Amino acid sequence: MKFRLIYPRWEKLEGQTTFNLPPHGPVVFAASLPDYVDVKFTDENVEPVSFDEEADFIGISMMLSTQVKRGWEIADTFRKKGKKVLFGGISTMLHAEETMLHADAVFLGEAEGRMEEVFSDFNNNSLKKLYNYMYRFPDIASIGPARRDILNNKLYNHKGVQMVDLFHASRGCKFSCYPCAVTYLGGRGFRPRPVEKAIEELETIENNRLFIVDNSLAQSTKWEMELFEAMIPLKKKWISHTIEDDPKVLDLAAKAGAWYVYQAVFDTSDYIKERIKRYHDFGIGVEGTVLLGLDNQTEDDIRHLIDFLLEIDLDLAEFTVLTPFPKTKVYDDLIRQGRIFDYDWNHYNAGKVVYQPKNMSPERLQELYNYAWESFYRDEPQSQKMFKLFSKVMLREMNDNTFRPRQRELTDYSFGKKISRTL
Amino acid sequence: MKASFDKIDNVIEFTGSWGIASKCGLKRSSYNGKDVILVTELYKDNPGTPITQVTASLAMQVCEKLNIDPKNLIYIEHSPDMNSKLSFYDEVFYNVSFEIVDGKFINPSWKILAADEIEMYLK
Repeated sequence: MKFRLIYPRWEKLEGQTTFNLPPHGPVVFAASLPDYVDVKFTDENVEPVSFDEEADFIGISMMLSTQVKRGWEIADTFRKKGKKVLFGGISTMLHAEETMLHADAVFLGEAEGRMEEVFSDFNNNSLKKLYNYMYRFPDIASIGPARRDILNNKLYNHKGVQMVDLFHASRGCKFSCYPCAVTYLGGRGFRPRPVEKAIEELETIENNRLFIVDNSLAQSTKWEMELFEAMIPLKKKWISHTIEDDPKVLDLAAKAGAWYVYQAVFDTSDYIKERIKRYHDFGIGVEGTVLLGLDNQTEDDIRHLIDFLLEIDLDLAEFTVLTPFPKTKVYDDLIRQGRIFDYDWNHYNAGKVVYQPKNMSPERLQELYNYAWESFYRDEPQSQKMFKLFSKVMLREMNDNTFRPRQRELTDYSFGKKISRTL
Repeated sequence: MKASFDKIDNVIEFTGSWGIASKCGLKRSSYNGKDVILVTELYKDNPGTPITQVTASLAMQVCEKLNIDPKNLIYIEHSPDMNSKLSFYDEVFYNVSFEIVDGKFINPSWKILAADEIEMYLK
């Protein structure tokens, strides 16, 4: 049975360095497919979708709101050709209602242990319009290694440098941050994978550089420390979201290969300044993630925040504007207050203002967002700051004999496309 | 989530957008001869559409289920206290008004309610 799994493209943010990372949702989903399913994967961000290739059943996996319109378009084309289309993934869950208009079946929830039913229904011509497994989570210990074999690795390579591979060690999140949909998607209970299961998967990943995509690793000190301890012999180098602010944990994280972390910078307090310093003390880089446009922010607050970022020695910064993704509390609040004026999901990229901010005009917030990017990278461009972080990881790899030189046969290619190199 | 369960008599199932099975908390009382319905968002305990995103449809479903005349309804949405340090998750109540056209609620508009107004409606 031939199953085509497609990951729709999306418009990248203007003016920012574009890196295409191998997507994680599709490879995790692929591991849940019955053995008789022959899956072929297309990531439209790096290769075109062929609508004429032989396939029995089409799957569309979507992570971002900015993918959904393109995903629906792809589905409509396949359905006109008589193919049945199944949708799944994070943004399918956020946009389930509209997605059902373009689908033969919509799967909501986590796929492990559920696909036998879906594919059996397909085979029996009794596909259901909706498979709603929200909050009926599979046993976290049952989650095995993702099917990274479906990826064409050459397409995730920039001038001979392989992009990081994505990996997750837990699901769910005990925090409930205001603009975040994770509580809706994965529940408010933290579900760590057994450390031995996580390590078993890590051992299968050939790539030495990883992005651990868990929402926050700082949710269970004991588990976090056990995980880091067990990762040390693997000598991987990795990026992650927040690590617990405890010297014992940070020390272990550094030994386990922590390269840099995404850390939310939400105010100009000494706490933040010291938190960044503590990461650096352990040799861990920091990319500050900065959300602009909350109701408690004025124009002056945003300007002070940007000045503060320049003072605290961040390695990188990423700015976003508040975006009311469906199924979040911020969406409900802004709907009730009649403040959302743009429902074009292609604009829900966290770089475009789609709502009326409380303390300024939408245009002013958009200007401040642009100003934030320009100010932070004025003296040292993003590419240069990234190169510095990259140099640090190369040195660490050389020290522990894990460094691999760039792939010479791919130095003239960027994400599968031939490039002309200038001297 | 730690919802304010004193504001929930029972949890009901409702049909969310495009038929998705959904749940919310429900409390019923009366005020000056009108039926007061308070629906509570259950966040992660609601497997379907959030109450605010189908407010008109949910209000009508409640009227049908409880045999309430839509013209006689005072409809309140409740976001419970999430015990968060962030003020965004404080408990909040909205009175939702609708127009009624062809027996259906349309054009919802939300007005935040003060604590004394809630007391008045629910006592």
